Amino acid sequence: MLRSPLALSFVVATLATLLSLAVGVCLASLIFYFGQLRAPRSQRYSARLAELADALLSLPLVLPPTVLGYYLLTLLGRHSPLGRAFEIVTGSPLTFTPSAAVLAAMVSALPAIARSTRAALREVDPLYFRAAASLGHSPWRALWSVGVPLSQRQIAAATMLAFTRALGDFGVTLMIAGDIPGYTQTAALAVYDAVQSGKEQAALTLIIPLSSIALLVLYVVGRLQDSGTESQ
Amino acid sequence: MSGPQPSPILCATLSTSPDGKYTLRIDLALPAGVTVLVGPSGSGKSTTLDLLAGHRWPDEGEITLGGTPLLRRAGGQPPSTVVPPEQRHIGYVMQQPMLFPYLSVEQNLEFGITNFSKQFRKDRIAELADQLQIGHLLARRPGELSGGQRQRVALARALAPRPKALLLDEPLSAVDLGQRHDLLDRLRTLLGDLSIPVLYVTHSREEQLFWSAPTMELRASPDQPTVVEVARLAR
Repeated sequence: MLRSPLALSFVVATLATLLSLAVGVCLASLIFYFGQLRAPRSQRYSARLAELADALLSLPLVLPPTVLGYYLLTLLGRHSPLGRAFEIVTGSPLTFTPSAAVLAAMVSALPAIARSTRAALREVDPLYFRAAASLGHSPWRALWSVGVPLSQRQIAAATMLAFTRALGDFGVTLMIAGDIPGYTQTAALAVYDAVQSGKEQAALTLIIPLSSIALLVLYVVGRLQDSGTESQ
Repeated sequence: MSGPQPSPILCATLSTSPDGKYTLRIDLALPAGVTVLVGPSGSGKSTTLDLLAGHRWPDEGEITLGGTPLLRRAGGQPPSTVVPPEQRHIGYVMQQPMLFPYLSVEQNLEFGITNFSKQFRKDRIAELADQLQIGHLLARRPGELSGGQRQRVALARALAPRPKALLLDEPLSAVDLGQRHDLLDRLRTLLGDLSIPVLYVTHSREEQLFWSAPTMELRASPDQPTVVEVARLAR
């Protein structure tokens, strides 16, 4: 068990970012496939469904963290069907555990990656997809053989930003993972506790590394975006 | 008089109104060999190629390739037959080469033949690299190539899966003037050996004359000014 809030935050943010990357890219690809690539061949409802899925995916970016936390507690709490199912399968509840902290961090990381991936896919010149089609690649195959590789720089930048968001999540983590020192207390929660109890020195030992990481990530993302612009 | 006309392989009788302002009527029957399609900018040359390649649907009409229907649509109805672009086996070289920048030249050539055996891919790439003189470029990325080299690679990539027809949309428009003659000579040798229909779209009079091939023109119908149709030009 990780007792250090900073170490726990790193593990939670890393897991949440990796999961969000896998799920986010798949979701964005599905939305792009049904919304753009398949739309000319199919009924309009597939494009409408893609728009609805996009709006749902963006919801966590605009809702207050407490509201999101409430939804997750209702959906995954010990008295919910999903929460009970999780407890039967794993032998322990989901809420107020480090797993819940990972889930909470994903709530902010996933939409960021999915939205950036979809935006990057929409920026890909459609002529690349036509070239792929004339070479025998179906739209779904071209999405992965052409669309995602051409979007990799933007996906990498979004993933790094998502990591910093996951690292700093406060509201949703507090709601569904709690603030249990040595168990679910992440660095953001520990900073809050330290400041509330007047332990400024303890807060600074967390604030400085968190700020440094955020600065480093922003610098690298800026470099990534600059090199992307130059290579175009 | 010349001998009997070669039998057409790629046939299309289509009608479409791309932006509602004019109607494009296409009536083509292409035999093996090069056919040139000319017409002023905006006359519908690229639209014609998009329709044949399957990236657009006409309002009505039919396309067949080697007797196999690729599209059938009655006016106002959804198409009764549609073969998607990836299953048409029609190679398409666009004005911009659209090489995949994250792949090497060799990987670009391999892109359309990944379902074939490794030996086939190796032999096919070597054959095309030799024909188009791009063997020394195989390890490079598209960003490191000149306009003429990119277009040669795009042509090799389109030919790699052995398409049943080839569409070339102003393939020399992004090529320096100095490299055009060299590329045209190579194209003539290469395309002359193919036994498939090749539709070469250009607005360059020089390229049109160079091919000395059957030439079609997209122009306004004498009877209906809002209708653009294909007319055969005398050679």
